[in-house]
Amino acid sequence: MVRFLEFIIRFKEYAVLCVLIAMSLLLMTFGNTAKLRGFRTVVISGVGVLQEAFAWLPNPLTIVRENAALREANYNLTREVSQTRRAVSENERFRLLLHFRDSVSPHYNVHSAQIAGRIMDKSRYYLTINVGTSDSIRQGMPVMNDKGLVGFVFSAVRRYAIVQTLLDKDTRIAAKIERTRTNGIVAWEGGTNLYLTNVSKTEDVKEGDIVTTSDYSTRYPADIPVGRIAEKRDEPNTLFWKLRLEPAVHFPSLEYVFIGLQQPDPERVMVEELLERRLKQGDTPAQRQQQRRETPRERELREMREREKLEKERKERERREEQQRDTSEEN
Amino acid sequence: MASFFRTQQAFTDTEATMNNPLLRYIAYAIAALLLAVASDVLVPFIAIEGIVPDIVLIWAVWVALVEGQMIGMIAGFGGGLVLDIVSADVLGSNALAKVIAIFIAGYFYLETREQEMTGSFRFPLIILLCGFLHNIIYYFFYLRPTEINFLQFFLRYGVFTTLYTAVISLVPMLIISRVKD
Repeated sequence: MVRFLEFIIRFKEYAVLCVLIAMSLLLMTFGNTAKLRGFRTVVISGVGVLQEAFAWLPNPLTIVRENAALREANYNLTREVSQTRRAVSENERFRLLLHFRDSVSPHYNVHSAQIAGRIMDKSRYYLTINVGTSDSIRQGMPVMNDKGLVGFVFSAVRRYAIVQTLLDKDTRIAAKIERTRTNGIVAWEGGTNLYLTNVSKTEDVKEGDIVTTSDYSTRYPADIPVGRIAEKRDEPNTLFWKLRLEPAVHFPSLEYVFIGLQQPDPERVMVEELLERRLKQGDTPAQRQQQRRETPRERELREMREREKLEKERKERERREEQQRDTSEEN
Repeated sequence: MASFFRTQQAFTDTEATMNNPLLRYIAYAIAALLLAVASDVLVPFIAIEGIVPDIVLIWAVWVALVEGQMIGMIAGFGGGLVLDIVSADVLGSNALAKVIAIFIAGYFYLETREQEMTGSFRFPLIILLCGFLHNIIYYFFYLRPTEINFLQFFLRYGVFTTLYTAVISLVPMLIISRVKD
């Protein structure tokens, strides 16, 4: 026993080490008793109170990190806000376009398109749109947006089409003043303004009146806004008002358009062309006399022949256009 | 003048306490308790990427270098146990790691040359060695119930905790070296 005690005293450090290791291992194995758990809960709660009391103390490194994280979050949020703003604006624009499409579609089939490019010179303003013959777009189709009339399809290839806008020297549109139903012709004379011509000075015209497409137009659907009368000028030595229009469409900011897919009624076009031809030929007394001498049967036959001739011409023209289109597609 | 005398009196009182073994051990126990609480409440404020220095280990190594291997081991065990209790760790895990680490630190104990050991750069080096050993043992038991890769975890947390503890141990070393001078 004495020798054992001597051994222990001699190696007391090792003995203490062994005892402490054994105690630690025992605690690790059996230390999770209910009583100890309760005691530890009280102690940890007390430490929690202290931690809360010192929570106001700043950790400089944490602050730096938090600052960086906040800066990043701020940047991301700013970007998101900007994106949201853009989305809201875009949404508003699309909603207007959708509203227009819904309002016009029951009567008129339309196809939407995005402006892909602009071609401008002194006397013309063309737009390139991202739809073409593959989307059933054909030459002559009217182009509009939610604000009003844009122009018509000047030419089309498979994936693109060129739109001739109202700002063109060849623009001639049968139009009417919405308030008074007075008809006139819209033309362009340079700049960004249009003019409504052939409106008699006897007609009631006011600045601010809305001008829309007329029912007489073969190319454009009726009641599409063209512009608003911005100036009424009383020019001497003429029976007509000089009416300057502010276009309904703001061409520089145009992004989306609709193309009316209905083409003019061919029979109507034909009969109007017939009239035009007659007028060009001249309605002379000799001709009238000749017509008077004709029996109803003869007149009917003659008109039928003329119609057939016109129909043939129309078909020939269409065939040529088709050929041109094919050639341009191949190119 | 009055404050000077008060300071002198305080030094005299401290010296008296340090000469009385019982009072000294009580002071160690209180210090262990305070340091354990501080390591849970205040030390997180100097955390770097979530890594905190082990101030209880610094204190236990200091005790081992001043009092010897046996007292150091008991201090380490007590300090570790208090730390386990206040930090909701596995009871006994810190105690075991500290006992073994302090056992090694005890070999650096040189009677009558305590201040030479604690007030020089040997102190942080001993902390580095003991901290390394301590963290191997501690993380071994800490990760035992999990499937986390021990080596990866130790290299990420154990090594940095050891280095940070060694860096922080420069503070008491500098204080002790100033007192020694």
